[in-house]
Amino acid sequence: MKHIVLICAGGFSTNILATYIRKEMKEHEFDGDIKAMSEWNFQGLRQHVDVILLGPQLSFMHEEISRKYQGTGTKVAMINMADYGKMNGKRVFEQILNLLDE
Amino acid sequence: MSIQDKMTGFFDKLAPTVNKLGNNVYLRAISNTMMGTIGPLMVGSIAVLLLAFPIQGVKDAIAAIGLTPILAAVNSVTIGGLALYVSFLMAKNLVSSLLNEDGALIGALSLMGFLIITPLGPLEGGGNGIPTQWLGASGVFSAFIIGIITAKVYELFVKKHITIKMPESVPPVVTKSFDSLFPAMTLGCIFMLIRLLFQMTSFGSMHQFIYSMIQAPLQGLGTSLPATLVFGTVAQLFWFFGIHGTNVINPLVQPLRLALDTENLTALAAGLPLPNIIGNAFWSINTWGATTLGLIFLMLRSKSKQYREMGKIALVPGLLGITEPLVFGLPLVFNFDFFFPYIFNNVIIILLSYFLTAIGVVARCSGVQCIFGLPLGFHAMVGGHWTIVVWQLISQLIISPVLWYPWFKMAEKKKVQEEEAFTEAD
Repeated sequence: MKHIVLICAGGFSTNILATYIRKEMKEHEFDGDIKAMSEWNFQGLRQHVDVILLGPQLSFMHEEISRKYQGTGTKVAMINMADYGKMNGKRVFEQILNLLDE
Repeated sequence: MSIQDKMTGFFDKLAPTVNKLGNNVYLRAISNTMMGTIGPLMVGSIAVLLLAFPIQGVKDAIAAIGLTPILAAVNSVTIGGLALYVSFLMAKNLVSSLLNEDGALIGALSLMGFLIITPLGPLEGGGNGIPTQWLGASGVFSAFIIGIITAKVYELFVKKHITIKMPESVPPVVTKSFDSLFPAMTLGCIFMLIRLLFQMTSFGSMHQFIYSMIQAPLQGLGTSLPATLVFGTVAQLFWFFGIHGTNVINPLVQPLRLALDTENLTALAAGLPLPNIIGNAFWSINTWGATTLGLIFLMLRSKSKQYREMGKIALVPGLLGITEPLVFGLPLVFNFDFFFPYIFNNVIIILLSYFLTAIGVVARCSGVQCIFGLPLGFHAMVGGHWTIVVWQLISQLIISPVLWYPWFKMAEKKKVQEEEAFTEAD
């Protein structure tokens, strides 16, 4: 069971994207769950996560969060701007699979 | 080198500074603290709205069942007690990002510090009371500073391993419990000393000192119309380069604006005229969705297929004030075709709103905080007056499309040519 977390400022736009990704997950019978949350709620998260994806508007936090999770096995990456804007669940799901394969 | 390359180059140079600003632990703690106060603020806002209910019959009914004094008391400990929540949350949030621990205990110490510094006074009917004067908006800066002092002192203890040396015969359990109490006792002494020192000055208390020397001047400066326009422009510039500008700017201005909103709420509860035009609610209502909804409408009926598709994806989020699909999908980020409207439409609407409010056509905002994610129009209802709702609808549905139109037409022409060339090449 893999845990995926999407973060943006308020947890709103990632929430929309998460709905599309969830559809992909179901189609591919992916064993895992996906949560979207605000940067604020993320700070209080104490659960293990396999992949953390950041919305492009939070690029300034990428480095800090990557550093925090260095060596823990948790993958941290940014979501591509165009995929994010077009709410392309398919492409982001592929990104998640690639990150898990690394 | 074109202007566009120059701008991009300039921003690339600026980027590390922006990153630092966005990641600054103190600014982030301030921002998270303000978000944490939303709960008590909403409860207080409902109490105020009931107290100042525009229909006399409802007001009378509330008074008849004896709810009026309770609502007033709720107002005093929520909106009127804002600084108490800030003092707790600020230290808690700061400790959790500085040391990656929960920080709730340190939040309690900060609250203790805030109360030690607040001058307790005798009540007329006997007994002692904490004057509510400093517990509300006017004590917010003081609360931030006390939160920072508390968190930093605690950090010092943890990082330098400051402990009391006990004789070896003392059991370790006892030593440990003393260790955890040491920061608390030290902080107690520090805050007592601060209180003593300020008592000897003409200010009388640290709260008064911070209010007069820091908060009042900053509030005047940071929430003036020119400053609001500048902050609005800078936030949009950040967005243009793909960074959540509102989040970067908010910690700097939100506490100031929120203080003005609570002044309005306090006046509303007391039945007095509202003192401020600009506040956090004014800002949220009038910069709704960065005024991008007009562009979405134009795109829905565009000659370009790509624009029509994008408009469809962006419409529902757009009606809820969520702009990311448009910002990153169209995109508006790094898109010089839409540079001017994206940066300056907000500012134009703010100017119009300020003017209309100043001449009394649109009412002043009650100070109740907006709930993000509510649909257009409903979002503005917290303003507390129908003119504010109507103005949000007019500015978003009529003025915004007009402001985007010329830029949209130019970009559309280019897009359609591209699409035609593409099909011909097929």
